[in-house]
Amino acid sequence: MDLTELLSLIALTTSLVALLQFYKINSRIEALFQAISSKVILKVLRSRRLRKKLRKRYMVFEVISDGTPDKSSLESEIKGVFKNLFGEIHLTAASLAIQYYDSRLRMGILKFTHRYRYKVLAALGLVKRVGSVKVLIVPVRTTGTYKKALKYINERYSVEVKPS
Amino acid sequence: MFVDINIRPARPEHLRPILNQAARFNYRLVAVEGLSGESLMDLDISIRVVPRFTYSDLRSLSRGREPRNHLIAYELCDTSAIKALDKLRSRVNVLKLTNKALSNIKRRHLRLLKNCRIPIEISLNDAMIDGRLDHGFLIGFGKLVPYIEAGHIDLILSSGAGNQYELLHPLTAIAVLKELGLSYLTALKALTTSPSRLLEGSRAWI
Repeated sequence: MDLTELLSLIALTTSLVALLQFYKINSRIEALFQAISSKVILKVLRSRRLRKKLRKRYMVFEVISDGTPDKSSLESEIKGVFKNLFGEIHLTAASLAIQYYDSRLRMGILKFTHRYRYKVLAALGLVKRVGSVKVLIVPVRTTGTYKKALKYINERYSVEVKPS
Repeated sequence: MFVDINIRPARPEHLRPILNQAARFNYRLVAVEGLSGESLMDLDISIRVVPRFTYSDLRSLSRGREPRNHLIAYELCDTSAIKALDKLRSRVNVLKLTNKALSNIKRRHLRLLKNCRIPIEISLNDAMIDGRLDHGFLIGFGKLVPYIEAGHIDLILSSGAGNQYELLHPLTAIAVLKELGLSYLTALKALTTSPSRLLEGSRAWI
């Protein structure tokens, strides 16, 4: 028996053993999956989704109004409507805040948590007054970073806004 | 793309700003209450406008003076009127539910609404009282949701705007419906397909 025949024999034996081991492990995994019902898997997936990191979102909005509402009163009105609709717990979790507001251009950037996008939009739709001023808040664009939101404002309104 | 079937300007001069704002919000068709078809024809705007009448107003008009190409809405103020809905099927295009009717709605009323096959209109500005959604509205809407999701009742969302600040931005309107328990697609349908199908199917389309 020469060297090449010996080497090929060793390779054949090793691959055969690997194949058998793979079959053994695979059948064990299959048995494990059969033991766990789909409901359990769904539960695990859902809990994993909930444990995901909360990401911030920045919404560029415009204010159409018959006066000039200031930043603090606008923010408190939005928060008030949100609280009326969804309650104090959700308001805290949403971490709503106006990051930037230009009263001359009547537009700004609203910060919130990504899970509350539709809740924030619904609250914005229901804000009709700020003090005695009639307002209509129009969502324009939602971005993932404050920098991108500022960039969008700079491009859309041809102004030079820098991060504060 | 979007349709608003209930605009009722508080003053005639409010109409043009409302329609301009609606055009900016991508509305393609609106129904305006309280104005005749002739005055709407004079407007030079980019969206289609249809006159809208409530059923009671239309009955008070003398015969022969009935307007053409219009949308007829029946305002349901009380749940007891639901029993007589079958008679109205060919006369009205849409059934507007008020907060009072919604708050008193029962399962038997929902069955009748399902059988009469008239689309239901809900005005968001009417549902709001002092900056918050009316409690009765929320109770009634919660009962309607399974029927709307199953496709048994056709929902149309309208603004009921009296001035340009009361118009609904489509994105926020969809978000409100979504938060009230509807799916995204059903919410979108309430602002697009359902109202346009209603106007195409009725004599209101011009």
